[in-house]
Amino acid sequence: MLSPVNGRRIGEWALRVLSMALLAVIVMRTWAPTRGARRAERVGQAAIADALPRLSMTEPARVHLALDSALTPDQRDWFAAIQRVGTIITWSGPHIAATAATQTRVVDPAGASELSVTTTPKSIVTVRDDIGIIDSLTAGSDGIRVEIPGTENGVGVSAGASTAWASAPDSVVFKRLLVEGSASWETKFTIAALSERGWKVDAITHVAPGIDVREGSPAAPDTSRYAAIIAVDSTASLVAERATSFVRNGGGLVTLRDASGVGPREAASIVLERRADGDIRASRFGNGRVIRVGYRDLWRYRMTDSDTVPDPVVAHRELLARIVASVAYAPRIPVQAAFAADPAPLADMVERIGARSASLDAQSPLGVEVSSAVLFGILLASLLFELASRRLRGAK
Amino acid sequence: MGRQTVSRFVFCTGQYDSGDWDSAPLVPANLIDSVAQYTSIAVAPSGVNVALASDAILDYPLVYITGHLPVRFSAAERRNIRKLAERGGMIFVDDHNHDIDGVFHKTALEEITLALAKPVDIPNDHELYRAFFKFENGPPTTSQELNGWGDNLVHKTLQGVTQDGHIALLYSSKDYSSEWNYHPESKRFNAVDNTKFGVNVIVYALTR
Repeated sequence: MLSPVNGRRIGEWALRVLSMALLAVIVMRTWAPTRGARRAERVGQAAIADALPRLSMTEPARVHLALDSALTPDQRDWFAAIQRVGTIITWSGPHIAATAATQTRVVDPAGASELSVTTTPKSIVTVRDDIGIIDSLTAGSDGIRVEIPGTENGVGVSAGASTAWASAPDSVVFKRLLVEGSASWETKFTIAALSERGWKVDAITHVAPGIDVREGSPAAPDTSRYAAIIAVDSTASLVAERATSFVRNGGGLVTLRDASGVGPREAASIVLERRADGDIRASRFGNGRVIRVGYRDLWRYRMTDSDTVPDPVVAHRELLARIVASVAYAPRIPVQAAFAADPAPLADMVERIGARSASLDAQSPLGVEVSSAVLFGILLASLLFELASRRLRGAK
Repeated sequence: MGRQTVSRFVFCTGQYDSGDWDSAPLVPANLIDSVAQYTSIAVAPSGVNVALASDAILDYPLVYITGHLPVRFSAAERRNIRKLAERGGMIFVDDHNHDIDGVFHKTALEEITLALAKPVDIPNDHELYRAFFKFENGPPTTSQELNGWGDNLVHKTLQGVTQDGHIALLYSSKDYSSEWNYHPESKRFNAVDNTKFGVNVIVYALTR
């Protein structure tokens, strides 16, 4: 049976062993740092570029990033790699807004793109391309949707400290348009406006029974040839004959005020615009779309001066181009961007290295200094107990 | 005058401050009658007279101008002629004198040159002469020309100012204003309807 004195001696030996072990660990950490022995690091935005190579070599236990703006895609990749080998990466950045941007090619030969931006409401958003600033806008509660001049590259969207880069829009295959109507200003200026905009237009203008004026090579509506067909009035017999099957197969149909009976009978439509003299309604039918314009005499947009419209010819062109773009069938071809897009930097950063921390102080204290202090305290306590035990039993 | 908002084609005679813009008052009715007779174009049964200086002139993309007397356009008239041309409209100017050295001819050409550009001869195979009826030899001659009135010339061509490939201003020294200035009901006494070229002018303006 173990006597109390022997048990005490065993305890003293255990305390000596513990002290030696702790001493060895502390010495090892001092002279040959290992994971648990290094300091946690706090890295500011400006120091990230310099810190990354060092952090890759030292593999610290924890790194906290104090950010003013989102990390670049390369930095995100780098920190994600460091995180995968065991380093805990946390970050804070109260001013980094959640900003995302996408760019979609509008089916318009003028080459415009639609830019959609999601960001903090009321923030000032700057849009730029690789040449310079395009525009500055204020975000609404549902973000920003704006048409911008066409670009083959991406566009940058900056809101506060965040910059998102929308990828280059897809390329689209432009097919022709078919316009049909009677000899009238509406028919003439519809053809003119769309041609001026850059569309290749086939047109049939009915002048008298059996007498038409034809432009281009008008043919029966088919999605292999036409992106959209436009019926100006009720004389558009060729369009009317094939409109339903054309739209069902994915083509676009535009009917102007006097051609409202042309085409399929859609079950439901939505109002896109409303004015005193009518509205513009959109609907789907099969794979295609239909726009019914209820405004009277669109051609007057082109002729009438207005204080708010600097160039009525351009305004008329843009109105018709917008209407046609919303229905036109245009196969899309993805383009290889000349640079890496970064459409949602904050979301990507959260996905790669985790969510934002409330603050650095909120982190549980974990680090080499704290651990060493604890170890040293335990070492001292263990030596003290061992010494006290020996003295109290009369040993030296 | 209130603006007409109907979609139909409305024949418009341009009123200018100088000269006698209303020297051929029966031309509009005669041409409207011919358009209704030969084509399916929706045409208003009566024409309108609109001041060239007024913004309302822009509601009528085809404007007919005629007269005997010297023409001096005001700045507003000149500006609206320019706007009509730039926006795809057409101005048809006819010398009611049929007089190559006449005051209307000289002054009208000066004014057109100031407002747009100097008119040039339109080739006689231009699509204007095939826009509806076919005129193989260019512009049809008028009885004034054949009778040797005015300058005693048969003008071989019309003149014009083109804009973006179409005739923005058509100028005639042939005096169609006299040729067509009769009551439409009298047309039945003609062996050949001499207003057919007027139909071409209107169809051209509406389709090109």
